[in-house]
Amino acid sequence: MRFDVVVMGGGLAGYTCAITLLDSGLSCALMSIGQSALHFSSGSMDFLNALPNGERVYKPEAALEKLKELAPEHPYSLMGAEKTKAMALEAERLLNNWGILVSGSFTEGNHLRLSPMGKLLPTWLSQKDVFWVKGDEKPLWEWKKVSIVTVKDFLDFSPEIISAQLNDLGLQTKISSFTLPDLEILRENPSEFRSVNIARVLDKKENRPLVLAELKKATDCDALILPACLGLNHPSFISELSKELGIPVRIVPTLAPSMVGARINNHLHREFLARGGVSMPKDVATAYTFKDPDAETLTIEKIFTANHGDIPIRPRHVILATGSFFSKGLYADMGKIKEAVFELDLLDYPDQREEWTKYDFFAPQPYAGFGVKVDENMRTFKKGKLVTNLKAAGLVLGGFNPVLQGCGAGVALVTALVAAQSVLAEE
Amino acid sequence: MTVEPLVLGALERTTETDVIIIGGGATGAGLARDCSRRGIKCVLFERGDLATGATGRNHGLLHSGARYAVTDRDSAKECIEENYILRKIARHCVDETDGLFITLPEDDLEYQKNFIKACQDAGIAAEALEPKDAKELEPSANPSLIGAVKVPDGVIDPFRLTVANMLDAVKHGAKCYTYHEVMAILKEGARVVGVRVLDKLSKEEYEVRAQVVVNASGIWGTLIGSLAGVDIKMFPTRGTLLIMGHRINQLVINRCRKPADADILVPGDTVCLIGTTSIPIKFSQLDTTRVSYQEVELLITEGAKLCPKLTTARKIRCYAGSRPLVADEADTTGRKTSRHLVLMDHEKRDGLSGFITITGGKLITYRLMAEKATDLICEKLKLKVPCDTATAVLPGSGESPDKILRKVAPLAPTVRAAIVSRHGDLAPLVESDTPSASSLVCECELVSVGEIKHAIESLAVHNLVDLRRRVRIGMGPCQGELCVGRATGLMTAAKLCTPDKAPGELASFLEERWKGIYPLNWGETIRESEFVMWLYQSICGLTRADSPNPAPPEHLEDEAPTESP
Ligand SMILES: Cc1cc2nc3c(=O)[nH]c(=O)nc-3n(C[C@H](O)[C@H](O)[C@H](O)COP(=O)(O)OP(=O)(O)OC[C@H]3O[C@@H](n4cnc5c(N)ncnc54)[C@H](O)[C@@H]3O)c2cc1C
Ligand SMILES: Cc1cc2nc3c(=O)[nH]c(=O)nc-3n(C[C@H](O)[C@H](O)[C@H](O)COP(=O)(O)OP(=O)(O)OC[C@H]3O[C@@H](n4cnc5c(N)ncnc54)[C@H](O)[C@@H]3O)c2cc1C
Repeated sequence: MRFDVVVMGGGLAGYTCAITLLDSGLSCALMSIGQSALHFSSGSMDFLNALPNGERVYKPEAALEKLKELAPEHPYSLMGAEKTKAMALEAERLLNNWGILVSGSFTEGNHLRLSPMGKLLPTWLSQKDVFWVKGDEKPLWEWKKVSIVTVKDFLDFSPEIISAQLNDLGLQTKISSFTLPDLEILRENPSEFRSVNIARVLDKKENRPLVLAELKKATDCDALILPACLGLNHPSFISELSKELGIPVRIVPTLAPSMVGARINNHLHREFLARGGVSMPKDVATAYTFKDPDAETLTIEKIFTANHGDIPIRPRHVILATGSFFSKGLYADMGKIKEAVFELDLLDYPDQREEWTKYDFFAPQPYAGFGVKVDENMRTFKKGKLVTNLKAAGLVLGGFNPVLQGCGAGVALVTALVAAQSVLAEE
Repeated sequence: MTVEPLVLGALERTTETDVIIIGGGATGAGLARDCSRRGIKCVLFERGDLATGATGRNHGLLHSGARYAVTDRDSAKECIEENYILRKIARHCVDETDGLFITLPEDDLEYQKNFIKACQDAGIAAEALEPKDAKELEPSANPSLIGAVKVPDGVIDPFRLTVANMLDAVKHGAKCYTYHEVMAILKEGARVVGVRVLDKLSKEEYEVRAQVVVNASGIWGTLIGSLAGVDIKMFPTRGTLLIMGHRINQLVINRCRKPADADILVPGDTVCLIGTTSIPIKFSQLDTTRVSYQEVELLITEGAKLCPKLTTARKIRCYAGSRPLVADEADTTGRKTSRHLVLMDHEKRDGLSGFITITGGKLITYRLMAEKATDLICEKLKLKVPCDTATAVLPGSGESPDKILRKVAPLAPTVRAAIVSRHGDLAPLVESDTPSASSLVCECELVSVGEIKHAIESLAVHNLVDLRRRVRIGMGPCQGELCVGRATGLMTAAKLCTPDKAPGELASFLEERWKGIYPLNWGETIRESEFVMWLYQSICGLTRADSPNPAPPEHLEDEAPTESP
């Protein structure tokens, strides 16, 4: 099997890279073993919310220089402020082109999203139908009174908690709930009542008028807030509801699974297939060979996978976008951290396992910053040697703490675009 | 037959009673049960939740006594007697697994002979097995074993046991106040007349008077003793345990040699535990003990000798408790400890009347300890009522599981089994006949909304960590990932915490959870840790500012431990 490019990892980074390369005319296969981080994410994309010293960032653009001083190994620092900015703008353009409609902009700076615990948190891009508000520290509300309407007995969303926090932030709130006959059937299986499953029910054509009728009862307010458990397979559902009800309707991410995140992942997958990408779901590399293992630089020749036995894939380029520990891109045993597929060189990390974690749950956890070492073109190394045709992107990279700094999706998008560029430059 | 509802937790204050019990471990709860069943009015004060001392931080081994047979026959006898009593009175807390004592090539097979003889002398049925048969009986045991002895060890759930005792006590009129810390012992001359307690929830202090005050505070007994002005010499020793994410072994596996570190592997519900270590610590370290990375490694290396699968098994949590080891008062060097239960009549010992200490012993001897202490209380109150706790069955243990299963029929079979295993014959009190009540909150441990509501309403739950102890939510392989988020919502809806306090509740739980996980930062565990960090810190946005607790110091000052006993 010959492909120009093989991408490992079907998350934000892998798909972004793959779609870009397909658009440039390269043939592309994508392997993925499990659900990506998107399926558990807030559905909003962060670019940079804080510096490593904890200082809050309102305008990422203005903070990139300082970031470079504080975190020289951060992917943004490696590629430099100019390029980072260019890639951020490109990502915004591409997402909207691909039909993932987002609000927010790198040039204007961060806005605020609403968390499942009712907190307003900074972020870069939010999907159009997701609840967000302008403002840096204080929200600039356009509304006075909102109605929070939840699905009866849905456990992954607490209207009481969200309401209390919003009240604190100056909004009046009202809570109500509804159920539908189809939901009552879904509920009979005690573990099925989760956001994505509920969305499959509420999105059904025959249920839409029922949902509308239920929501009508709660429209004596400036806007409606719903848990994100509708609009999965029918993304314009929320905007249609808005139109029919005559007031804005917004969804708020729930506890996992995240419908808003899953929706992005599904969308990317469709875009990938639509461009002729070859999907290899549940497949994983089991072995690989280098062309000349003793040469100064290494070049991957063949990749064997679990589902293709002894028929190797011969890619000209490989993209590693396998995510961090959570997605199994990185692996830790009692003494060492490893990149799981090629055992690539990692950025330095402490030998002592004691230093991988901190005792304080809320302290920055060092392991969050561990990962693969790359140069400014996302090229990787093994035992000190450059691997000429292997680029890495996304959370598998090291040098940044995406939780503390709020930069997960930003890094995934930007590094994926740079990795794609660097492949194209070599073509 | 309908099940009579039992409710823990007394809302009104008591200012006068017959007996005050300090400490809500198994001993204190057992004592409250025994006193109340004998018609004595009593009040129990526990500074945290029930079973937050050694009772909630031990191995859960229903000792057959075999472990002590060679070194301490009296302890061994006590164990085997209580073992059979608990199988009868507390069957919903007991798993009758049996245990193996295995001899490895590096151990002395001679020891086995003495061991079997010593067991028989103590009345413990010990049966030598051929290695082949032992391996067939317990396939996870080290295959290189050269000898094995089967004994009637078992497993006991300390949380369930303590709650069941407390429920019975409350049913007979006792009052149970959790989150009440005894701050002072009130004395009039040479007589103790009561205590001053701090209600930690309302932050108010008040006095309560009684004829007898019982110090049942385990290792903290020394500190309570000093409040009363009596000297009780104890040696705090920390023992650390490590929990694996699934149940590898069906029988308890012990090493057939002199007791040492990490030589017992106990199965329990869906998990198994290897332990323990034994490290002398200072009293000032009692409430701050942390498990070290070295201890974790020792538990794994030593534990793998019992059961090689342990090396690769997923590790989900570690924790440490402090044994209530009391100085042997007969020993003049002051360095020897007693494994026995220790009952002190401070009137005889120190000339201070109205004050009793009951400590030492083991979890499995809690009932006997309570019986002895209550006998002494009766003597002081001039009552003659016999003890019936060895025969009266605990709430939950009345009916057989198959009968109870039929009463909670609407639930899915697995959920039903889980609820019955946790609540025994009180399971029908858990609402189970509506879809909302049977909705699952915790999928690892199969905890339903109904069960959580039951615990919140009837089992003195004040926060998420208490809830964990009552219904095992967050005790399974994921250690509480999504389920705690859901439970926070339910607690808010049940008005157990106000919505604005909910993030703080959740933050506290996550901090508590992390204490048991931070040294296990590899393999599957680091994946789960990363997920929880993303979910609650990034997606939900919780920060240190949400937590009601101050940031813990990264390193504790390395205090030199006291001289070892
Ligand atoms: C739980 C979670 C929540 C997050 N929430 C947010 C958020 O709300 N906002 C935000 O900005 N950022 C968030 N992030 C950061 C997130 O990492 C980035 O936003 C981005 O989605 C990461 O994309 P990725 O493609 O690098 O990795 P992932 O999304 O982790 O994708 C990696 C993929 O590779 C697959 N894979 C792994 N190993 C192999 C292999 N050997 N072969 C084939 N496939 C393999 C995995 O199964 C997975 O599908 C979150 C991260 C996590 C872990
Ligand atoms: C690592 C380890 C493993 C063990 N394994 C086993 C085993 O497998 N089998 C077995 O039978 N035994 C075992 N034990 C022993 C057993 O755990 C204890 O003997 C038993 O739990 C003691 O119960 P207790 O009620 O006396 O004390 P505790 O459970 O310690 O209860 C004392 C209570 O007093 C409370 N308290 C303290 N000060 C105050 C105050 N001022 N006001 C109010 N309350 C206060 C504390 O919060 C605590 O809850 C083990 C012990 C350890 C440490």
